[in-house]
Amino acid sequence: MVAPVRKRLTSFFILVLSLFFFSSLVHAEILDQLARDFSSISGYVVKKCDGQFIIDLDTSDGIIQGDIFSVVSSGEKLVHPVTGEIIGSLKQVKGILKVVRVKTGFSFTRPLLGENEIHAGDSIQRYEDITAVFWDYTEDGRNFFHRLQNKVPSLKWTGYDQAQQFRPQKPGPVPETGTAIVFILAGDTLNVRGPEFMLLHTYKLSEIPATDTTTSRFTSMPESSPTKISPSFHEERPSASDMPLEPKWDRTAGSAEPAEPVFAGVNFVEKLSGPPSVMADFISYDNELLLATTDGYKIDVFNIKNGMVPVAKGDTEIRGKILWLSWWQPEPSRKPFLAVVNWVDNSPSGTLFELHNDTLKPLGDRISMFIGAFDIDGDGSPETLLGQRYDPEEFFGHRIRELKWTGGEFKDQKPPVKLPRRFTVSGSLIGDLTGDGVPESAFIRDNILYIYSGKEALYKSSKEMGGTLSTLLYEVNPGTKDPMTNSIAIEIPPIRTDLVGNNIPELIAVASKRSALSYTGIDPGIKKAWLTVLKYENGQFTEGTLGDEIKSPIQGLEVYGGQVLMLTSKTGSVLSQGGSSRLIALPLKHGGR
Amino acid sequence: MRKLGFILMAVCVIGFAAPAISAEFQFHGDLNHRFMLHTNHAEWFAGPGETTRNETVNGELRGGRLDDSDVDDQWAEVKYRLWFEAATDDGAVKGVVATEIGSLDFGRSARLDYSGDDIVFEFRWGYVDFQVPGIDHSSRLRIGLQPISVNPYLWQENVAGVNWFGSSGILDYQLAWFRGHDNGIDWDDDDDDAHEDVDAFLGRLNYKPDDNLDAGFFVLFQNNDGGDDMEGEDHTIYPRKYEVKFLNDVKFDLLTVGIDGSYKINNFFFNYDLMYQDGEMEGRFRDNRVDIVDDFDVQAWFGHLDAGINFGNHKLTYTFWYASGDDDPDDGDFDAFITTDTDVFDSIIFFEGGYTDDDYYTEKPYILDKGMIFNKLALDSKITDKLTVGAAVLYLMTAEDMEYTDNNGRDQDDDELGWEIDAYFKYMLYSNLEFSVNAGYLFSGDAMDYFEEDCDGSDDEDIFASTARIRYSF
Repeated sequence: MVAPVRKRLTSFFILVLSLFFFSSLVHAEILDQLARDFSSISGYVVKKCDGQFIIDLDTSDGIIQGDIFSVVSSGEKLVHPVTGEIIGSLKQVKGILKVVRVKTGFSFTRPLLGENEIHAGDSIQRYEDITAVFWDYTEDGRNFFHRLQNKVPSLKWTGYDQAQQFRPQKPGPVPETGTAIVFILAGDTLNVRGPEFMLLHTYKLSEIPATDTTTSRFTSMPESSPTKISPSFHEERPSASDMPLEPKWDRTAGSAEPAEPVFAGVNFVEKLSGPPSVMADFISYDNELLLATTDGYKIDVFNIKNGMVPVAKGDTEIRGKILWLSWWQPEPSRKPFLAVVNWVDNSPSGTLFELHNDTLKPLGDRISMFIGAFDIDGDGSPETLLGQRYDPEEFFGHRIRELKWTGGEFKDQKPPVKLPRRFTVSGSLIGDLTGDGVPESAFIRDNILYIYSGKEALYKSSKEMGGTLSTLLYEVNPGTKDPMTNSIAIEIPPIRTDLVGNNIPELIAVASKRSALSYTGIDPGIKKAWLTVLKYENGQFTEGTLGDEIKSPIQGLEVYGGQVLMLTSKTGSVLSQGGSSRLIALPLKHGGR
Repeated sequence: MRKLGFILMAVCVIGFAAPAISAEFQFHGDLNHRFMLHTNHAEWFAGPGETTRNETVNGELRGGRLDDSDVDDQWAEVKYRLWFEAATDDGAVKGVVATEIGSLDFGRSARLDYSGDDIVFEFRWGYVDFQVPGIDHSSRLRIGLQPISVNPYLWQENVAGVNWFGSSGILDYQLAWFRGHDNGIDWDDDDDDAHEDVDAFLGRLNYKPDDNLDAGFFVLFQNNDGGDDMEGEDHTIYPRKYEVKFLNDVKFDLLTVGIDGSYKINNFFFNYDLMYQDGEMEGRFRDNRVDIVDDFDVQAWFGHLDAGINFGNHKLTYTFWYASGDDDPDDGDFDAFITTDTDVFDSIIFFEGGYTDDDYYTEKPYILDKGMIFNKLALDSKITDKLTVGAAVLYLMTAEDMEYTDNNGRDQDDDELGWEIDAYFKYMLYSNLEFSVNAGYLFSGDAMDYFEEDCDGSDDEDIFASTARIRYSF
């Protein structure tokens, strides 16, 4: 009898431990998301305008509609009693602003407190020193409160017991909360309400087990059903400007059905740690979504299905600037490779890497070609690897070969499609864009987007396409006494997806406006960027735009789970380091692929 | 100064207007500041023809001189190159114009002394380059003053001409006509043929079947059929100036046939060049021993091999070349290999390895008309993405003995130039701003006694030089 009881006790113990562990994981993930949603972002008040205040932050900075900013002023200086050194100052909150509209480069906010004290030039900080209370209707959330408090230290927390004391019977506005942020834990739901009891975020604690991919943030959901980790704005979404994105076609091109394009309705924003990314590529593999990104010197791989989870990082072990990278998956069942191109000793060096534990492991020899992967068959997996030879005169040479990886080395063969003479394996795609089942090639070169069917030109854009931070100054004639240099831009590849739900794919590409400096080759000089959309109908391509302009260069682009994913990067000055990257997700009206 | 301002303004105006005219426009520059940190024999680095004094030892023409005592010096100079390109959207037509300012030595009288203000402009490049209509593959015609590379050891510089080059599959081709010097017309000579100039005709085929093999074959024919017709010109061939670009006043026909290329296997790499020259020169030859006028037959050759290995971020390279030299100019033959116009960087003491690249002993891969046997073992390491360091050991000999009579009246002949040790580091302060320092030390061999003031049959003067540069390219 003793043995079965012990077995049952052991099983029960393991079960309890597992549940506890599992619950911890769930809470940890939510807490991480909470930390991101309430992280501190700094900016300035620009001006007062019709009772509202304009601030110098927008989506690319990570803010969303409904965010609360405190307007701070420097208070009393803190002087060390022994050394006499000033060790800081006490900040004073003199006003509170709520973001009501996010535009490109700035946002409108409404003053909730201290309107008369707020002036242009005042420093603002998101959720800094805003009072926060935690109402626990489960009576069991004390530990969760303490972990929440640690994760979001910028808020001015009211103690657990004190908050419980003033907690109303049913959640609702009470005078005591005033302009406070109220975290309401009831059942398995954590609602976060801001001043005026406006709903800011909703988190469901029971629905996001770490291993459950079916409920990831990329699952298409009705807009009215905010998920547990996606910001919810439904109480403040009266305008069409917050609706999911749909293309806005150029009326002069004939096909008009303009929609109001905005980037305000973001599903989430993730900030990448480290220097700004200059190139990124996405791939869906094994029900996960991998993001590979590089700052030009090292590579980071994240699984972004459920947050920004680091998968691997590393150096290519090649001392040379990384120009671009792309995922290559020769067989659907096989783990994808990462094809990376470095610039070494005045020539390209292509290397394949495989994910090995948390590192990137180079495979075999390098190849002196530009290499890039393409999804020619349109199944969503880049199965074809092309290699392009370097030509000092034109940079991208005319000889392009398909590369196979067999026996630990590259074998080359004739490419599966006819390609035009000026095709480049970077900043390009190959796939059916006209609906005839035959793949076309599209590429961005010298700021122009070209589309070809074989060697026949179908489309040529105006000179505003692309806009990348991945640039290279190279020597045309190295080894000479006075080498001639040239600069080249490595563009982000366009993508192909069905945006309007008619089973004919559209092409989305990055476009940008540059400063005069960019024409000197000194600096990319990108002033603003946007997404251009092309659709094929009546024998021609029609141009359109998707969403609004943003002021940061777009360094990665993908459509996944009904959302457009953009990796935007802000850099420091021409000579300085610094800057950051953010991953932004924008919902699409008709889903996309 | 006003001229410089005007040009810069024009460049800016064109540059900023470029977006409006929807052309691809680029503006580039190479702002190079060079320093001779120290040398103990500044007189050695005076280029060919700098002064007669530096060509003469004890009253005898030697083509170089080493003082009996140290001539310590340090100097600084600037050289700026600015150029702009305008091209059609599709790259079919491209125009390039480049200027060069300097080199200007810091403090040099009437150059960069107090208040600066000297104008030293060069027209560096100026050409139009376009895709040949009706040809599907890359096939371009380039016309004007342009950078060319016939072979790095033969001719790699700028020259005016018409250059047709293209690439069709695994085969690249090139046909070109270059005019190195126009002899002009002698209006006082009724028989003068205005077609008699210094011309070069090049044909090249490059075969590149895969990423690892590159094989080229070229033929270069050069001739100057009017040099000796010019009255009052110096038709002399000086050993120090044994280079085609100095033969404007010498009548010659010269044919060079060569192969070159590279091969890679695993981490090993090889670069090779092999050239044979045949022809004749009609003129006067003068060195320390002879002063003769003759029709010289030219038969010379040059062979070069790099063999190296890449391991990690390091590269180990052994370099060898042989440039044939002339043992006896009095025999009516020139057996010495002759370049046209090139820059060799493999030695800091002998070639242009120093960063002060207008101050060197020679730009050619040989010494005088004596050829060269060159050996170099170099290690280059990319320590970080920003820092590269390297060191090399060289052993240099002339292909033919340096023959001379020393100060004691004894005849000498030696071929050992000596052992040289070079080292450098290069650090990228910012992405396009380079800071580099290098240094070289020559343990002179006995053949260097030829250049010494204290010419006694044995080497007495080792040579040291250290240079640096801060270079901003965009």
